[in-house]
Amino acid sequence: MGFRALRVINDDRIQPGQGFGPHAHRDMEIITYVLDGHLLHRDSMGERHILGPNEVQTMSAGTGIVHSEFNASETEEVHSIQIWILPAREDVTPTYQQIAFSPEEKQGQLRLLAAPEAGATIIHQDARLYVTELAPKQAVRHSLAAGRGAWIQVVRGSVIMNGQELSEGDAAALTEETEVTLAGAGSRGGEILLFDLR
Amino acid sequence: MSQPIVLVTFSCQTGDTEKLALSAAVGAVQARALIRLRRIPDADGNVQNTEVVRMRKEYVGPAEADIVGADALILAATADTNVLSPPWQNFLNLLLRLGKEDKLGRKVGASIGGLSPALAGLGFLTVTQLSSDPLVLGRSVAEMARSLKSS
Repeated sequence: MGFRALRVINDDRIQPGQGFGPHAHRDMEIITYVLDGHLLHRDSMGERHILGPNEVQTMSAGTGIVHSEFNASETEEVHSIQIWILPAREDVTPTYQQIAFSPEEKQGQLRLLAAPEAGATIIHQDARLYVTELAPKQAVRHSLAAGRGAWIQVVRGSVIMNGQELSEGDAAALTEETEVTLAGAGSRGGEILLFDLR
Repeated sequence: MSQPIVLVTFSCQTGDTEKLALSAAVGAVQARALIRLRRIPDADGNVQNTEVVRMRKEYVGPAEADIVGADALILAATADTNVLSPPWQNFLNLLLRLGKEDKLGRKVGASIGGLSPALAGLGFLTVTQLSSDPLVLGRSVAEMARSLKSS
């Protein structure tokens, strides 16, 4: 199941006032990215935060956490993407991270959201997650080192990936490519998550 | 070998007992159990403080299937909890009936707060209060449930 260390991508639309009650995770890197609306997070570590667009939240579940996520609004829907990545080792101490960035940082360029090193939220896996928002015909390139694979997830609009058109909700797994080229397509362009995985 | 399931059921009006219940649940998860968190419904449905309103939204009450499907049950309440209130009585009567039907005989029971007397005699194989630290209690209960499940 999954693609390399990537196990789950949940594309959730949460109605006003609704959400996911308290539930547990263990030994999983959980990354949440909100496209629209605001998500209220609470967990057993005592963290209580609201997550909105142009922010990323990463929880390392490690030895175990319990958390809940609810739409923080009584009027607006939340559209969020939640990603589960297997950690390279088990039983790490649970942690919570949340960072914000300006919209310009992802426009026409790749913005690192999660990685094993500083510069983004830190995960316990040799995997890097980027986001980019591309206007029509605007393009970005990403090189893949030998042996690495990429997962492309279109979260909004449409794009051309290495000559192939992908629309919202589409995904592609690349295993024998050395480069990924992404260009905005259609009248609105698109927003893409790019995973670079060992 | 499937993971043991630990049902953590609590009553709370302020969020304080919820924290103990969450801590017990984390302990169970640390011991690689699956957990279910359930909240006893309010005796007074008119209470409208922020924490109660939030918990009503986040939790459902315990159902018979939750108990039957669990390998261990942890009850959390404050020492002065009125177990004679209708919601607690309904829950304890449900446990009593399941005990008489021999559906608790291979389960571990444990309590946080003042509910040990209420658990005694219900038909659990073991009723324990291994630790006053809910995290340690949750871990120990999950480990006992795992041993029981594999025996």
